[in-house]
Amino acid sequence: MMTLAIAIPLIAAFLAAIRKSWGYILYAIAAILNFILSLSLIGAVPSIHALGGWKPPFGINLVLDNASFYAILFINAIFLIVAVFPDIIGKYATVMLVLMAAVNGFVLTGDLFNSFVFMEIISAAAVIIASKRENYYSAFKYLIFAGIAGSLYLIAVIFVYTQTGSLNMAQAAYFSFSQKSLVAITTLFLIGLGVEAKLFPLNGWVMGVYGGNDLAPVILSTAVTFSAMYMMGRLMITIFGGGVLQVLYVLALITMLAGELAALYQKNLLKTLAYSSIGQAGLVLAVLSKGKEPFTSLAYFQLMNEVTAKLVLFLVAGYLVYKYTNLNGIFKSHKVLGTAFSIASFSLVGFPLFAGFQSKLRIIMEAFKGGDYLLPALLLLATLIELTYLIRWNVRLWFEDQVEEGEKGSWRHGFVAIALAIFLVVIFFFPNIYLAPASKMADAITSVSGYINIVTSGLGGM
Amino acid sequence: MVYWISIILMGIGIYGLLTQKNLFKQLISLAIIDTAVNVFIIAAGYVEGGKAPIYTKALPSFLKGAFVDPLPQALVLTAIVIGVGVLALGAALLVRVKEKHKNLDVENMKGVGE
Repeated sequence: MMTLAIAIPLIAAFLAAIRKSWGYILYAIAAILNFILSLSLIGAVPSIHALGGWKPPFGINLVLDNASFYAILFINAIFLIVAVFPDIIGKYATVMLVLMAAVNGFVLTGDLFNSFVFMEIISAAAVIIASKRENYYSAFKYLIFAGIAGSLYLIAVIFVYTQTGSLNMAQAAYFSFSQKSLVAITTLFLIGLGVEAKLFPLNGWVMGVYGGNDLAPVILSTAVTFSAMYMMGRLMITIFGGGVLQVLYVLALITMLAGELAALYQKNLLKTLAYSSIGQAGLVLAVLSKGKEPFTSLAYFQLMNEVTAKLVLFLVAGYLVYKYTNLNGIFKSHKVLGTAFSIASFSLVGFPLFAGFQSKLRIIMEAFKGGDYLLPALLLLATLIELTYLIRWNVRLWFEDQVEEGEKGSWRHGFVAIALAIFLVVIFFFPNIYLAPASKMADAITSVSGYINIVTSGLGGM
Repeated sequence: MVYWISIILMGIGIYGLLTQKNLFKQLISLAIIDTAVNVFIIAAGYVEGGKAPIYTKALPSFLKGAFVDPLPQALVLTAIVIGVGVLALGAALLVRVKEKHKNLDVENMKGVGE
């Protein structure tokens, strides 16, 4: 069953490549089917699928446990939401379908080399998406970053193979590496995944790509980031527990501060949000790098809140930036979009009554309990910076004198943005909507023996 | 011994990426790094004095453990295909960059001010 999550979008992509005019319809159908499919997979958790009948230690296997189930559910929901906007997808339906297949495969796979292949497909598709609206130079920079990351990821995979004699993730989790090889392998994986996860020295591509068009930030900052964060947890905690988590912690804190500071000095709305998403990625990685519960579940809770808020912000910003040249006071003509934007930005900052408050407060409290005062201090500082620039943008977009005549807005944007914004308020009152899946994901990610057991349940010959 | 070739190639690639101002040369540097990784993988599967991993009538002699590991070779095939795809994508992008910015030299490109 779970193979279909990769197969449906891939078949649709081939059909869309043949008949260009069917592209959007095929994308919408594939997105709906994939979402229904991932909902229906709940009965199959936990299980594995051995591709071609080659049982675990030999062939490629797809692993569906609580972590990968909720990850693909969330990711496919995002792809479904994006399917509402034919004008954003435009001529990029084929690439979006390939991206959908690759992200699903990346999350589901239980084989290291297979995950490398899917990661390369993700970055190739993402580069093409980034080149929308003639944003070629930024897309090329992204290609170089992703190319080097892919090479280092591949070397890490080969290191694991020479050590364990297998590419199976469960076997690597079972194998006890020497400390030296563990450091080498996790460092290489950290660099490989760090590009997609927007880790500090590797995120030079983000502002060019997110700031360059309306499609790239909507899908790359949400679905692709989510899959990268999932894989970061899977590799760094489940499979190579320990390793360089402390290095990740320090780099993530730098990422958080650097991202927020850079956002403070940006004049361009999309680029501000791009830097802000770097800062948020830093926060999630810092919490994730603690490597144990309850931090892991809080990291995914924060990630879900952030992704939902960013989806609203980028939808509204991408829509307005390419409609008007001067954005001053533009929300006077787009009240619905403006309300959604404000709610999402308040949630990002973490005001009470909005989803971000629940996750940020919990992170600070748990960090204090664990005797870590650095993370709460830096988190509060970052929040303060975030508050400054988001309030500044809100004031500018709501209250400054309107320069340009407002046109009639798109009802699709208004409807989706306000629905997601209301959802963010609902999350504040019922945090378990996100927290329960997040803690199930975290349980599956932190439980090494559980993961090995799921895969070995399908153990066998050829 | 073969590892050294891989390490030197990777050094050349990284040097090229860091020093070259022409975007096409950067792309070629990326291709050199790809090649270095492929050489590394092949070297990882090499067994001293090993034969090609193909089952023939001379099977008994292979059973003495003297053929190279076939799996890395299969992996390299995939990696090469991916590398070609990325290279083609990069070249296609560079054609568009050249059309839009009139130049492939980072310092002389027009309209990349911000």
